[in-house]
Amino acid sequence: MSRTDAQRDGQLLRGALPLLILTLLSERESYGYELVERLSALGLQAGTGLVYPALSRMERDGLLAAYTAASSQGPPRKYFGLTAAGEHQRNDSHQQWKHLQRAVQDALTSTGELR
Amino acid sequence: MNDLHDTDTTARRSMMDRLRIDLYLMRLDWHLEGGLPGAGRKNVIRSLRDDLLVEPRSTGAALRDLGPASGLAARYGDEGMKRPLWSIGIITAGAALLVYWALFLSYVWGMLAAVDDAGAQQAHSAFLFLVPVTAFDTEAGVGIGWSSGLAWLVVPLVITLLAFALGARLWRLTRRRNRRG
Repeated sequence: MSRTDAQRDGQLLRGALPLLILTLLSERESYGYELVERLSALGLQAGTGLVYPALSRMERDGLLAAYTAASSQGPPRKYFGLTAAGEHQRNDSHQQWKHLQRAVQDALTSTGELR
Repeated sequence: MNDLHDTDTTARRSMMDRLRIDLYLMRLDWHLEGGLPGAGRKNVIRSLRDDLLVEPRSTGAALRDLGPASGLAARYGDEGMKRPLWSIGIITAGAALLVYWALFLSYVWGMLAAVDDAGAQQAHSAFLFLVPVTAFDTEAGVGIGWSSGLAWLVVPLVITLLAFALGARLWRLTRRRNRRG
C-alpha cells in the first residue's frame, strides 16, 4: 500500500473509529492495545496513534468508563467499558452510519447508471 | 501503519527504552499544551506512559505506531480550541537568545581579531546596525565593550520576546477570546 493510500484509508477509518470502538467495547471490555489488535483482526489497520486519542476523548466525553485491573502478563492495564451515555451514543451512531451508508450506496449506484 | 508483530514478549523496558519513552512524552506534553488544560494533559501523559510500559511490542515499534508527537497531540486535543504553547515559546525564546549571543560574540571576536591584525588601537561598529560595539587592543589591555545605551539590552530582549510570541503562538489567545465573545 502506498503512503497516499494509507493516508486516505486512515482518514476513512478515523470517521468510523468511534462507532467501531463503541461497538467492540459493547461486546466486551478491553484495554487500548487489545482494541488495536481486535480491529486488526477485523482487517482494520488502526494504530495506537489513532485508537489511544479516540479512547481518551471518549472517556473525557463520558462515553467510556475506565478502570485498572491486574494483568497475568505484567503490570496492571487500563480497561475501558461503555457507560449508559456510550451505549446511547453507539445506537445513535449506528443509525447515522446506516443512513450514510445507504446514501453513499445510492449515490454510487445512480452515478454508475448514468455512466 | 501499526506493526503488531514486532513484539517483545518480555514486556520489560530497559533504562534506554524508558528514556526514549520519557523524551517522546516530554515532546508530546509540549504540544499538548495547545489542546488540553493542565489536568487533562497530565492524565494523557500518565495513561500513555502506562500503556507504553506494558505494550508487548518493542519501544521503537510502539513509538513509530504513535507517530510524531505533534500529530498525536493534535488528535488528543480539543478540536478547534487551540491554546498557546507556553513551553515551546520558552524553548524558542531561549534558543533565539543563544543564537543571538553566539552571533554577537562571533562578531565582536572578529572585530577584535581585525583590530589585532591591523595594529589599530580600537575599532567601533554596530552589531545588527543597532548595538554599538567597541574592540580595543592597547598596552593597557585587550577587550571588547559596548556603549552604556540601552540598545545592547533592548535588541536581544525584542528578539527574545518575538521568538517567544512566535513559538508560543500567542495569537491563539485573541482567537480564544473572540470565540468566547
